[in-house]
Amino acid sequence: MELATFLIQLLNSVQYGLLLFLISSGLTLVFGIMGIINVAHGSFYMLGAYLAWSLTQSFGNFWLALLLAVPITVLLALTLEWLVIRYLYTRDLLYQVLLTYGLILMFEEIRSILWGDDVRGVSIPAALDASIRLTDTLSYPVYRLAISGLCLLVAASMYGLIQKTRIGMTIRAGSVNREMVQSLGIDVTMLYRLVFALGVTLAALAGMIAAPVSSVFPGMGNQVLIVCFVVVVIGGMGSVKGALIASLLIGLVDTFGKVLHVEVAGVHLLPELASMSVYLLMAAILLWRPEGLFGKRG
Amino acid sequence: MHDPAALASTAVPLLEARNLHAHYGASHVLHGINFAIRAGETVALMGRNGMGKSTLIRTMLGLVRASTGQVLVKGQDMTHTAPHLIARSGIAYVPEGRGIFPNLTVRENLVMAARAGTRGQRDWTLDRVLTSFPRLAERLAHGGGQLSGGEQQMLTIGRALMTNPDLLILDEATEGLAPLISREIWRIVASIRASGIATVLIDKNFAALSTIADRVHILVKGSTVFEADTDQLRAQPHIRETFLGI
Ligand SMILES: Nc1ncnc2c1ncn2[C@@H]1O[C@H](COP(=O)(O)OP(=O)(O)O)[C@@H](O)[C@H]1O
Ligand SMILES: [Mg+2]
Repeated sequence: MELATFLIQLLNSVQYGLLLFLISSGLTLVFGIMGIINVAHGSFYMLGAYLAWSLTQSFGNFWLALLLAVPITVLLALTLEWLVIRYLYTRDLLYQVLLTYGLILMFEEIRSILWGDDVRGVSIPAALDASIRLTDTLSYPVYRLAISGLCLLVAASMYGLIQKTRIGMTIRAGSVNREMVQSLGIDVTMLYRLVFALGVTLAALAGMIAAPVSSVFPGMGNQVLIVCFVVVVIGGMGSVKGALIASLLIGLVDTFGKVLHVEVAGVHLLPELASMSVYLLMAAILLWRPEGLFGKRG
Repeated sequence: MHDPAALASTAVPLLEARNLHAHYGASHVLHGINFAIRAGETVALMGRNGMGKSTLIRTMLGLVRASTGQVLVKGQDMTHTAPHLIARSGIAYVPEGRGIFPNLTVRENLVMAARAGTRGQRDWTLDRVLTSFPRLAERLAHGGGQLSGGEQQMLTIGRALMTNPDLLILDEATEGLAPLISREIWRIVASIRASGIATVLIDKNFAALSTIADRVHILVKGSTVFEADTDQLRAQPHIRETFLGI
């Protein structure tokens, strides 16, 4: 492989990995702190993408669309937590999966009613619609770099929020002893509502910024949800740091699994093997560490 | 000098239970308890294991649902109020088994709880807590889970003080600690009491309790069987034998 091609694939894999992190960090946070498995997490990714599309259509400006879509998502998340999610805290896994699966169906239906079932596209905002030339024939789109940059910024802010602020301390404390946090005069209900809103808004944000580089289509949330669960399992349930490492790993394995022509003893392995590479990675890591890279040992 | 007896007779209780009942599922654990503690008082809550001491505390704090009866905080009915609001009315709680946050550092355990008291008082700051608990000062960057049992207990008490409470409730604060460490805890409790914070103490150590408590409240199977000044209990050894087995 040529160096420039390699560099492009590397950048692609980092960008994909960071985007995955943006989505899966919320999933792992909601699980780790609130003990909720939210299988509708991917629906927020889809919602973000469709909101970006529809608002860009209406206002003709992608940035304005983002500016409106984020608060819409936050409001929706807060409402949803209050309407349904909060009843799950004391329920077991089966209820959580059933209820949030029901939410997926509702989201898909609402998407169908509001925006139809067609595949949509969002064009790259003009300010970032440029490429960096690497060689005479190869170049790299600025917008993809911007995605990586934004994801890194979000990752850094999350780290700061969770590790350095008092809210972050309370969130971490609440993940081990909810009752004690309450007894110290802290409103855990409100804290959970905020964590849930933060988690799903990150997923929606990922959908919004990914919209210009990937198409917007029905069921896109479920596709990404499966990969996110792989991330969360590899990284260790509840570990944000684990999610970051696992996302980057999956980005690498997925991207290079697709471009490398694996040839064993003169036989081209089937392309299907490439699409399995992520799951093979998961299996290998789980054999080595069943609790995931940064998971708590049960 | 503060005179708890004089204060106690006039003031509205900081925390009060009226005819309080509580259940765990089908089992009836509290049978109509009346309990009160007033500003500046130190009350010992006594009784053998499983008599309902912790449950009484947890019900008053809103952590266990009261079946019937009332919980009043400073005269206000807070029976089915959320625990964090009861805590915010000036009540701090050191639970049985401590309840430190092992995944937070010692500093974080303390800082996360910091808040002004109900009258805006900020008597207990991080500095003051660290002065009172020098062992914690040496271990600020350690994870809460790395501390010894005694240090964890000091951390929980220090953390409770960071909320600048009017009332501090200690449930078995010296349970499982070496005598030397227990003595240090008792010394701290005495200084907290001297600073004017009311305390409810649950402990197995009758000798230590009787030197510090103004009043004693004894539970047997979820009912109050004895309630009087500490001196009266000391004068009636048969009550100790019957209800406490000591
Ligand atoms: N979470 C619980 N679920 C069911 N029963 C409980 C629970 N906690 C305590 N009990 C029971 O309630 C009674 C009172 O317990 P507790 O209040 O802890 O007593 P004490 O603090 O005086 O030792 C005991 O019989 C105990 O077994
Ligand atoms: Mg107890």
